[in-house]
Amino acid sequence: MKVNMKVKSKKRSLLLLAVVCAVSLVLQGCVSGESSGRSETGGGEAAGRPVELVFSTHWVGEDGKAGVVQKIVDDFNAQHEGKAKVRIDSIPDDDIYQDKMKTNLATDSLPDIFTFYYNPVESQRYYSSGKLLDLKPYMNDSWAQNMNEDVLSIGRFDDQLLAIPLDQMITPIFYNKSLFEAAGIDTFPQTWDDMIEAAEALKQNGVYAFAMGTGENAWSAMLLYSYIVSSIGGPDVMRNGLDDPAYVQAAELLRQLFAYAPKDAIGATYQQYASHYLNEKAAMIVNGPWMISEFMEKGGEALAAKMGVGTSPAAQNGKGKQGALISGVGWTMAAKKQEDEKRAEYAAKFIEFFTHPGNAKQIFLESGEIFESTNYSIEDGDPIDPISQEILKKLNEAPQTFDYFEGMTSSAVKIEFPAALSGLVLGEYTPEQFVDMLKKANSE
Amino acid sequence: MKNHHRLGVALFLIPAMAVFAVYFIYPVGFLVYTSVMKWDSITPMEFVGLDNYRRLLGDGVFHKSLLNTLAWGAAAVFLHIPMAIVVAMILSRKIAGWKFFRTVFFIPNLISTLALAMLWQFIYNGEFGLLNELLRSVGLGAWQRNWLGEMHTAFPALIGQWIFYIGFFMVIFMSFISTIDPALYESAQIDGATGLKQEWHITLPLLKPAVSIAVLLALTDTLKNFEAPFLLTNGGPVNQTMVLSLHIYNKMNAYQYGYANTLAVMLIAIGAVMVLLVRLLFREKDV
Repeated sequence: MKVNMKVKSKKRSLLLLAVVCAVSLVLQGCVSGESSGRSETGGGEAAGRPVELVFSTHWVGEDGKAGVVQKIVDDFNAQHEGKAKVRIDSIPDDDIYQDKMKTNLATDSLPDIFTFYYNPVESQRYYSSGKLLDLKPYMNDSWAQNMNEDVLSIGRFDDQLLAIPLDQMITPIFYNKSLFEAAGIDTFPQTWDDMIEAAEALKQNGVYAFAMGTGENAWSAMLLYSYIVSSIGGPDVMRNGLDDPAYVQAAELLRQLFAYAPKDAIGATYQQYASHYLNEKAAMIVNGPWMISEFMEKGGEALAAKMGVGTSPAAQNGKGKQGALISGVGWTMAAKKQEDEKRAEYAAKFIEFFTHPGNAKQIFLESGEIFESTNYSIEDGDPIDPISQEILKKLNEAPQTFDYFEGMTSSAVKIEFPAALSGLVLGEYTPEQFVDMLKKANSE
Repeated sequence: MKNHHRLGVALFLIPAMAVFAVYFIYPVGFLVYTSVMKWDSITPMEFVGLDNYRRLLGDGVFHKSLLNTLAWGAAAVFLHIPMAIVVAMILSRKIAGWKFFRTVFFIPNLISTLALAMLWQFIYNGEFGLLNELLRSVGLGAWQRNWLGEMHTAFPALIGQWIFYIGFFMVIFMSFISTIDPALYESAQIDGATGLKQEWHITLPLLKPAVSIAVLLALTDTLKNFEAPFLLTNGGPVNQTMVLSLHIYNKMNAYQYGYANTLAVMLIAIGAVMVLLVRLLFREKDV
């Protein structure tokens, strides 16, 4: 009898244990569910504790702005000690960063503060999602006075201010003056025919003309294509869809120019083709001022001194002008919509602090990137590197500015571009088929 | 079984069932549900019936990625696993330095795919790659090429960077071989069977359960294959190295979540068919 009782009691205990396990698992699930929902945000709403905010950024590691961005965050934290603290969430690759922000947008797990590239198509997705904090109520007079209203307008949506434009994305054609000189080229090519002649001269001299590749998003090749398309079709060509014949003509010219690219151009990632330029095996690369820090880092003052800033050559009977530069809004900064007013307030305060003229100027001086939305003055004694000075000079002289292709199309086209381009260069697609591939992706 | 026993069993199963439901049934159900939707993940879903499935028929990239995934699976079954079996058999004979070779073969399994991909980028690079240098040094300079960038070499090169990393399956086979009764080999030796015949008639038949597991693991790994194509070729050139997982990833990045989930449903369906086929194949042969 006692034995039976013991067995029954044991069974009851086991049943109880099972129930406890099941309930605890469910509760654990609830708790972890809550925490996973907040995985991209900091905590600290509880009374007395500082508000903790997560700032996701790719301006970390070897990026030219990493140091100054970290300093801005540190300064903000020092200024709001005990009240708010911003923590950097590092994602050291801009492509991966953009993909992650897209996924975060889709899964409603945006970080408290983040950036995204301005693009009339893609930015609308962020704006219309209803997940972004309206910064308008937080924009006091002193903040507003620091900002350039013309540029700020691109962050406005439905009478809200959802993003603050940061840098001006200027992407000149950098060229190596020594390699040009050695190949007997006196001036930077003024027309695309001159460009092919120059490329041929460089080839004869054992140097590749262009450092570019079709890997990742084919960044430099895409920018070169943007120059060619706009020089043929004019500065507004990318606002009118992909039907303009300029796209096909530009594809044919781009295919020709790939004959002067390194042997590993098909599939080459940015790191691979940029290294050809930095090692002086290629004479030209289309890229932004953020590359200046790489010139200094890889080749020091000696390499930086060889860098020239080229602008768009003209196309025969083209609508674009010689001397034009690709220029437009690059990254924009936004905050996640918050339920807690304190968190919203400090997220907005951080963006205000980040875009303060003093900080914006510091970023420009250290990385060469121009903050377009923020009003700050450049003094004579400011230590601006010669390449940045040259870029600013060329920008002021530019008769036109061009858009860049990736910034004017959807993500689907951006993804299709490298595949279509490799087909074009390998002779699998005609220029017409190349453009058709892009159109098809655009329509999906 | 008495009622209270049944209740006890049911209660014990609850945690496992809860985990299974949350981490498998719900996500798969959600995939199937959204696979008939047009959905960019931001605006509300729109029911489109079987349009996404019809789109699969005309999606050349899907066809290419499916073919590549199947080809990768075939390479796993007909090259990767047989190589692992052969090496396991040789090392199980305890040849001189067998422990060293076992470690050498297994080491790549301990290195991240990212590091291996970087290494193979340098080997295959068309400008300064080690493979091209090697070819040039032995007088085969005409064979130099951009291995990952040409239509006919990209996919074989991608398979080539993985096919020799047999360490994982080799260890599985070696542990199975170690459980085979040595008396079987001794009696075979007395009957005059050579080493090769012993392997063929004793080791191989007894390895069948391990081969079944290895084939299953290799095929499921093939379906999940993402890192190497993403890091080495990003599916290029012209989608020559596209695999299903990467195609799904690209569609998600293009905000085509409905269609991406249709592709994911296909991936699950293909996986289920593969598992069934493998089980059927090895059950039929087991007597």
